[in-house]
Parts: sequence; C-alpha cells; structure tokens
Amino acid sequence: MGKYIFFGLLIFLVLLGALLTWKRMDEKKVLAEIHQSIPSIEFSSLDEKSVNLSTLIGRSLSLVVYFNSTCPLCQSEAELLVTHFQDRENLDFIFIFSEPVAEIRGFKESNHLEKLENVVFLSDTLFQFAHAFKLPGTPATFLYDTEGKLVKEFMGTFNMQELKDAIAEVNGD
Amino acid sequence: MANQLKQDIYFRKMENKTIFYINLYYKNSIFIFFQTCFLFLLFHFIIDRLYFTDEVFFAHYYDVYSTTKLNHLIELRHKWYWVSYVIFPFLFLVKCIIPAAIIYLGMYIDKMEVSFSSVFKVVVISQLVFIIPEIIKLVWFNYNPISMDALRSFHPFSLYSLFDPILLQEWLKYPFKILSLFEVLYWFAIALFLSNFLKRGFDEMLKIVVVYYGSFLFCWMVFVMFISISNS
Repeated sequence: MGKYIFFGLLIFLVLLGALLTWKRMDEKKVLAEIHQSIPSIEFSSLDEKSVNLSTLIGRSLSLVVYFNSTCPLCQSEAELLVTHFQDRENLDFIFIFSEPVAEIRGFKESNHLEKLENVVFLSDTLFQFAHAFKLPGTPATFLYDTEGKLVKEFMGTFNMQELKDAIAEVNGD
Repeated sequence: MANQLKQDIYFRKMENKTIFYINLYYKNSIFIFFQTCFLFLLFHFIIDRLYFTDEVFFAHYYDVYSTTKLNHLIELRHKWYWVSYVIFPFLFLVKCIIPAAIIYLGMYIDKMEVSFSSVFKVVVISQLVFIIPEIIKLVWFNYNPISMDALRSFHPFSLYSLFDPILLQEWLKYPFKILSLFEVLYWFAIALFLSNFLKRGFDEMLKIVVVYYGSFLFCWMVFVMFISISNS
C-alpha cells in the first residue's frame, strides 16, 4: 500500500509540472500575440502633444523601452544604451515612462539621453502601455523591424550583446 | 622477520581503518553533518576567492549592466558575500535530508528497521563523493581560462560536459548536470555504507536506493524540465 502511495505522489509531481507548463505556455502564446500587434494608444510627448504609438513604429528599426525614472535597472539600461548607441542613425528610440513629463525631462538630462539620435519620449501616467502589453514591471524592451514586426523582447534587463545581434540580424550584417 | 613486520603493519593499518569507520558510524549525525558541511564550505570559499573574482564578475555582466551599476554591484558583493556562507549549511541540510527521507521511507515501506539518524548519517558521508568534482574544478581552472560561464557550466564527467552548453536546450541542462559519474558513485556509496551499517546485502540496499531515490530523482528531473520549458 505504502509503495502505491509513494509512486502515486511521484506521478502527481510530474503531472503538476506538466499542468503548470501547459498553463504557462498558453499564457506565453497569448502574450506573444499581444506583443506582435502594436496598440493604438495615445501618449503625451515632452511638448505635451498627443502622440499615437502605432504611428511611430515601422518607419525604421524601432526600440521601444518601457522605463520608470526611479528604477535603478532603468538607469543602468539608459547608460548602456547611450554608451553603445549614441550617434547611431538607423534606429528609432521610443522611451515610454510611467511618469509625468517633468520627471522624464529630469531623467533624460541626468542620463544624457539627448545623445541618442531619433529619440521620442512619451508619458504614460495611466499605465496604458503596461496594461495593454501585460507587463509585470520595468524595464521592458521591444525591438520592431521596419514592417512593425516584433523581432526581440526583453522583460527586465536586456543583454546588450543579444540586442546587438538581433539588430545585426535584421540589418543583414 | 621482515615479513612478520610487514604483516604487523598491515594488520595495524586495517585495524586503524576499521576503527575509523566504527568511529564514523558511532559519531553523532549532527557532528558528521557539520564536519562534511565545513569541508564543502572550505572548497566553496577557496573557489570563490580564487576564481569568482571581480574581474570575472565584471566581464560576465558587462553586457547587462552599466559601469556605474556594475561598480555598485561589486561593492554590494563585497559587503554581503558572507551571506552565501551562512545560507550554505541550510541548503546542504536540504540536500541531505531529502535523499535520507526518501531512502528511509523506502526502507520503512519494505519493512526494514532502521533509524532516520542512521540513514541521514550515511547520506551525509556519501555526499563526500561530490568533493571530487570540486577538487577537479580547483585544479582545472588553475590551467584553463576562467569565465563565469565556464565556472558555472563546469560539471566534470556528466552528460552536460559532453555537449556545448550554448547549443543545449535550456530544459535539458538540469538533467544533464545531474546525470553524472558522481551521482552513480553517490548511489553506490549510500548502498555500500547502508549494507555495512545494517549488516545487509549490498544488492538489497542498492535496490532500495535505485527504486526509491532513483525514481524520486527521475520524477524531480522531469518536474524541473517542465518548469524550465515554461520559463524559457
């Protein structure tokens, strides 16, 4: 009897793993579909004008970065982006902050983000982007190609080498 | 005369060995646990000090964090490095208690009379097998280039060591690390010490280890594989 209970529990462990995986894979499939299509959301730009995100993506290779100025990992990523991508022309940077315009300006200046070419700053105080993309937090980074197709995504910190490799692959380098 | 002397020395050595084993068996399991744990901690400390240097840390995270952040992380690392040594005994305890509990349960199901502390003692002593890969690691990186990836993916005589870690699927990494020569030796060591301790046949003890601990480990590996698939 004891033997059956023991092996029954082991089978239960395996089935539990299978169930958790199946649920997670299902969620990931839904998330992948959501991230593929760029939502038509209006954000506020630094000059307080309304900008639709879908109009910004697809003109060139676009890097959409979801930030918060108080997050230390975002500060680290901003420094990395400036170090590796300053003066790079064929890449659009779209920074979406979950904060008001005044704080974005402060973050932009303290992290020298003006050194990046083709950069847009958007304010999303209503967390529309995080809600639409079901983001667990900041930072989150998405690379879209010239047709607006998602190439690579990073939840949390990105790996610069992986990002550069993804850009090189799209550019055919 | 010379032969007599040689025989005397041989018997004295055998006697000493027997005394060593008897001592080991009759020592308190907590004492043996802390003795073994200290040995592992010592290797952990030496490998940490010699190979997991700031340069290795910096080179590994260079693509992930900015220089400012990395310097801050290295400062934090210096400040809190002792925490890993405090946590280690607890992790080691879990590592010993789980196999001991499974084997004890197996013996209980098969109606063998044995105390949990004896099984625990045997498992802790058998863990000494895993000192060998630590020694190999210490020697290997003395002559080979060091990197965080190389240090982390160093699992000598395992299935993992036969493949390129970059090409290996994420979900295969954990089972391939576990399936090693040392894991087999560990099972044999448990069976051998149990058979000596309980004065039972080695085959009988090996059967207990393989059937109960082996099937548990297999199911655990499958569970972790599922979790890796869902996280990859």
